[in-house]
Amino acid sequence: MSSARLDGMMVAEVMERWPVSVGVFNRRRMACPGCVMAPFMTIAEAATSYGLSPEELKADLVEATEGLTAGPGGKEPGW
Amino acid sequence: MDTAARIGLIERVPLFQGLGMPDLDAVARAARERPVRKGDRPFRQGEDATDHFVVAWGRIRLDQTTPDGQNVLLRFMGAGDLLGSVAVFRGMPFPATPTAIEDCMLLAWSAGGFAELMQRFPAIATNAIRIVGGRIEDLQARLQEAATQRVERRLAATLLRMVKQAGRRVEGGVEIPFAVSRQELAEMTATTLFTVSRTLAAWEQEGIVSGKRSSHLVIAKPHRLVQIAEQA
Repeated sequence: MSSARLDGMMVAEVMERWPVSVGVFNRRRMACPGCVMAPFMTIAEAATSYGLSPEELKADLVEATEGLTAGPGGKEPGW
Repeated sequence: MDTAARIGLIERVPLFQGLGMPDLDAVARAARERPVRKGDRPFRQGEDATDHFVVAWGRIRLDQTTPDGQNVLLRFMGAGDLLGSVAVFRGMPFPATPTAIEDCMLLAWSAGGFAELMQRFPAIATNAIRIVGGRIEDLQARLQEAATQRVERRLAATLLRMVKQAGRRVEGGVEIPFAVSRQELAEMTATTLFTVSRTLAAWEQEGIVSGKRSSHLVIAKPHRLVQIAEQA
């Protein structure tokens, strides 16, 4: 998965489509998995909130998801 | 609404998850339509609970008046939510008054009719248990918050609940896409209007929230709000 593709994706979507990414957030001590705001914050915004550079976090995510296909995204909101 | 349209609405409602098409058809045919205009109340606290309702579309606020006349805003409800069922199951009067804050459509089933549907399609009963159980968890959390947590934390948690239910990403942050007054926030958070106003004013100063009284609240610093809700 490329760094460019991550731009503009919300944290929740990344975690849903690449479950292995949850490990990245845990290792970085970020409370994103399960957070109410995960569907509403981009990767860059989450990184900045924790004092991380967006590039660092994206690099971690690219590495962790190397060679993996994205799962189905687009869970319907609401209901 | 024809049966096909009703089925389209019903099949996405959590109460009817797991039902196949012929079952959904039976459920749809047994329903009555109950349009509710903005400001109207489908029933009132204290009235006999004779029907189960599902919100097909729209938004409703659920208020409860305490014996000494105070108002508690219990929750907001939207499309897919179940309304009135606990009272019907318990054979008690409706414990709260729902008010439509937008034009709504409700689907209604009589107590007897619904009981029959649950017998025929047990999945409905197990779904109802899950839904009502979720409400209990929510209320337990709120009770614990009210008993042990400071008001800033409770108010932050209240806003997060609304975000979770209906939040929308907008340019300035995360929007709660319906009007909620400071008075309503006070009634949801077991505190006073004064305290809510003071807290929100401080948060506005810090850039955590934005939005004037009558427009929608926008959470400009979502991470900060979560921190406030979770602080020890």
